[in-house]
Amino acid sequence: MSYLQRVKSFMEGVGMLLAILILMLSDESGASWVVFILAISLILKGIRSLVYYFMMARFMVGGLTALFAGAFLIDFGILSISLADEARIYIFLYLAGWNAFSGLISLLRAWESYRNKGRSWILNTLYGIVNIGILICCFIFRDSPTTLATLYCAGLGYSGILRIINAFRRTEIVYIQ
Amino acid sequence: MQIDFHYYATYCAAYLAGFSHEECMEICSSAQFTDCCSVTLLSGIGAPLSAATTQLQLEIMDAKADILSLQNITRIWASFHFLPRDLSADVPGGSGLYKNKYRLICGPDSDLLAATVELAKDKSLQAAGIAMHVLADTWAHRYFAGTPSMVINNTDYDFFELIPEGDSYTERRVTFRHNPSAGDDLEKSIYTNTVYQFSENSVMCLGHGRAGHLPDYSFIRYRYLPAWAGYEAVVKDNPSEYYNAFCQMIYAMRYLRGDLPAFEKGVYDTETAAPWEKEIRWILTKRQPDASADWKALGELLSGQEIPAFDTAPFTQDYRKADKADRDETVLGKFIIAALAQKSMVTNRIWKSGNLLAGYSVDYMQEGFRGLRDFQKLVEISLMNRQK
Amino acid sequence: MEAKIRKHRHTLFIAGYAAILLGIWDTVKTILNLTIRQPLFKQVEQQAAAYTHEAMILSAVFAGVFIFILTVILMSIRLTIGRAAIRLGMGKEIKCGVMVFWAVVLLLANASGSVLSIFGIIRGGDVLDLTSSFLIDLTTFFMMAWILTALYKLKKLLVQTGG
Repeated sequence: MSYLQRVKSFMEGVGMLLAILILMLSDESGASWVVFILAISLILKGIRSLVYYFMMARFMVGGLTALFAGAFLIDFGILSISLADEARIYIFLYLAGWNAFSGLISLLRAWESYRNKGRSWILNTLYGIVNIGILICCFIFRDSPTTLATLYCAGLGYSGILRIINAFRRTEIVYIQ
Repeated sequence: MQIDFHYYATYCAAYLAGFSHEECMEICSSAQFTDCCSVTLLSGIGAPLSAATTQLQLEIMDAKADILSLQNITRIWASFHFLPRDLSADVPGGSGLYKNKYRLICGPDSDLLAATVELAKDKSLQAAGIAMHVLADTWAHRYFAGTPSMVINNTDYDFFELIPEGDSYTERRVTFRHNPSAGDDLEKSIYTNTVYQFSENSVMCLGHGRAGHLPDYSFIRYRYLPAWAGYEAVVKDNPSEYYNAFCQMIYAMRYLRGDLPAFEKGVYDTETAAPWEKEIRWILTKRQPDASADWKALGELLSGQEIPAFDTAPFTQDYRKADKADRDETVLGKFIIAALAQKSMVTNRIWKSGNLLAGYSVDYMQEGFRGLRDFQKLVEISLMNRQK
Repeated sequence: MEAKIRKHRHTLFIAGYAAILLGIWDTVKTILNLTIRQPLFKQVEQQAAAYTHEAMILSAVFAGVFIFILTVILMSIRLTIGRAAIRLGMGKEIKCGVMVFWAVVLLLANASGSVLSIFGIIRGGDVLDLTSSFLIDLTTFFMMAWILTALYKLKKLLVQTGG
């Protein structure tokens, strides 16, 4: 990673941790803030898709898809903002879907690692259990927007810490003739 | 390519190049092991994880979409399976990132291939095996890049298999499905590929995933639209390309053995292969998912010796049992050193061309040691060799 | 020239699919708006507070049926255009008079829709609603423009190549 990329990664991590503080201190409106963040990220994804079309995808066979996908994502994001009163449903769907997928992949990796006598099976099993645990919590607390927002913040915290760690990781490969 | 070519065909090419049966076994085992040496395998035996030459499906799916994961994926796949053809290719349009991805497109007879073969000169047989794997894959995997990229590696419905009929071909539309457990139906041209995921850095668009296993079948000929080719169709004639790969392997291994003074791009030792051309082309054009049995038969005919089935156990068991100080002298130890050297060289070349997709390379002679500690081994070996 | 023909066919194929998907999305949005965001019965209640309960139910049912019929008509138009474009994209020879007619209608309708949305925003209307309308109208406008342009260029090339 370049120096700028490391700084960007660090700042993103710090930004995510700060976002957690704001969300946790917001009480009931924390859930609406979470949906707002999810909606804004959808809109940004849509804008990125449009930029992606003009910078790269228009040179690709079938690249027109990027343009339509961008428009759809932005519209979906705008709709999500307007439906923020039903924050609970959105956060529930997002958390449940994401953790179900992540948990499954982690457990499959743990199994594969165990079969190959690798050491990473313990860590992957832990990841998988945590993901499944969050999934179960989503179902138990599906009627509580505050709890769902807290679970979202836990994921945000994990991502933030990872970004901060990545900023300091050794990444270069030495070359010697 | 798959085990039939990387293991058995490489054995045949090595024998025709003049190596003994035992040497051929070391070379072809290493060539095939390049498709097995994953982080999962290495972590199980306490070997340096940076020596990974491949990634298992679940490792790839588990990879995050952050920049470090993408660089790690690119380093592995571009170094061992999708060697870039032209790192300074002229790209008509697009952003800097698009040009960098375009320049990672794999193809045969590249400067990097020459560098790969040179790197294996006067090194272990394991280094030769890795070089042969890389060489063979430049033919099979051409037109795809060893980095997750939709704009380079995507395919679409315009994909036709060319079925030989007399002197010409009939076109049959290829149907792709996403069910790995179902297997490929060669009779109906129904093949498994990766799911279409609308994301530039999706691992579904890594290498030839979107074309399924087709580039690895020696018998197949197909016409399709590469994502980067501006709607120009490309015809891939695998039987011809695989034959070129075979002849080029003989030529490269003759050079590594010391029979030839230099390795030049675009030279294929068709003369040495000529007495066996009919048998080889018959194997390459036979419509079957795995030609291992036929290649094995040819190899045993050539050498008069039995070729055992490929097994990773001998690699890992010796390494595990050996003392730490002696590990570099085991077969896997030598493989690891060769893999680290190959990865270091390719990453350096990509980085020097101004392309950051494979991450940073640090020139030891100018900046000293920095970065991943696993590569310290290369520095130690190099300094030892200089002292000698 | 073969490459250009392929390019236009691909444009028709993708735009055709996009037209159908956008139609489905529009329908889903309409349902979401009328059930969650601005429930139809509540809207009727606010507008017709002076009427009897039965009259309000009748109004809501009438409004619902009207919106349903309109949605079905719009979806059918998009399906017609989309399916024809996809078939042309796959290389099939079909009569495209109906497709061209409805594509032109949608092109003009969405062009005016976009302009009206902008005026609405300037005059202080619901920004979110109008931005969403503007975006979808603009996308549909470009989609129809792409379909018509690709079809025209494809026909011209096929005549040149004798296809």
